[in-house]
Amino acid sequence: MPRLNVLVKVGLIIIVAVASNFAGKYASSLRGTSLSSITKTPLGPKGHVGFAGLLKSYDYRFLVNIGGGEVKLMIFSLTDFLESNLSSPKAALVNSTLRGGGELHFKPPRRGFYVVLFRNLGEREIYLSYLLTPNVMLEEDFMMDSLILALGGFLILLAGLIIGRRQKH
Amino acid sequence: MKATISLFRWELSSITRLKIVLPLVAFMFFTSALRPIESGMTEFSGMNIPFGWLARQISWGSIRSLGNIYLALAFFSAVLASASFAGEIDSGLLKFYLSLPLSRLKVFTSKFLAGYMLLFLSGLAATCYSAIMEAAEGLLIIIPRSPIIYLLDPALFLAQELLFTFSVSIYFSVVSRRAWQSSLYSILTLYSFYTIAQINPRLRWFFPPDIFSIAFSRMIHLYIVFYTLLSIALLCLSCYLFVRRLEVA
Repeated sequence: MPRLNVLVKVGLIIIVAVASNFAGKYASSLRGTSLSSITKTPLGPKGHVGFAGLLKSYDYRFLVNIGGGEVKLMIFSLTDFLESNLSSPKAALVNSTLRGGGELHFKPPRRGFYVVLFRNLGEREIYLSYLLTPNVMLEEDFMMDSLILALGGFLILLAGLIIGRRQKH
Repeated sequence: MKATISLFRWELSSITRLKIVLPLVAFMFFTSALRPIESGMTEFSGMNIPFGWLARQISWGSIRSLGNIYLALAFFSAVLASASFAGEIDSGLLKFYLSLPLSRLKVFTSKFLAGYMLLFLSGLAATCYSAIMEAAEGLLIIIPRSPIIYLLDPALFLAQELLFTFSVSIYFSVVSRRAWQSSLYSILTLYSFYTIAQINPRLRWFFPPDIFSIAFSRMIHLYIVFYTLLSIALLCLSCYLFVRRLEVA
């Protein structure tokens, strides 16, 4: 076996690592729809409550029940939420008003941390409950990121091969 | 000390060949992605984002993935330990080592450290890569604002899990002397723990790998302490056998 230089080895290791991780992710994404979380919380008049957590770039279904009240539902990425404040929710990815309850579909643009904010628009206390159901599938952004990393590995490998050939001549 | 370091470097260079590293990386990175971090949310009030909870979500997700990384750790512990110990007895290389002015303890220590370091670093790289890939958006905001212990936890559990698999493999390598025998015994023993948990899910709370990947209760922590002590005892026994009892013909 010819002696390979460091760049070629690094490139090969990166490609193998990325490809293997992607294969594992693909295998785990064959599970289909799963129940993620159910939450029930009281919400005072004109008050708000927030939920923060990790969301993948799946198609999420929010089933909201507010028992006759009216709420505003806003979803932010964590970065945007920290930069904005509650009175000017311009950066919200979703900004919709729900009366009595309802269903909402949301697909985050990228997997990561998001903030879901409920604001009570009515004058009485309500009990808010919601169910979050992801439709588990292979994430497109994950695939793109893996592809970019693998391409980076390939470029390192190529640079190593070119340098190796030059040193030989 | 200088001799131990140069022996350690020699051992490390002999096991970091591409034909070992590539399958190791492939297996580690594949198994680390089999149990992805679950999505989920927690309540907060005002602008007080629970950064600690978010960091713990990633940390626990990474610890859960150790349940599958166990498969790669068990396999490569068996392969590396049998190549380093039993394989060198088989090939006669160990006889050459021991003819050098080096104590057997130094030879054992350098072999153990080289194998342990390679497996630990590859496991850690796989775990970190999976965590970063699972939470691409916002991870850089959370890391500096969360307790350091949540970030160190996966590395700690990985170190303990690896200590268990590697000490079992080293013990069989020192005892059985033949490379294929030691690999076979190690793989059978280590995979039997995994199989037991698959056959009877109630028993998973008492055996590796699940005790290293579901470490959320105090009782489970006790089992981890037990398995860590068992690993250290096995390692000491292997060291004793290698230094005092092993006859290299």
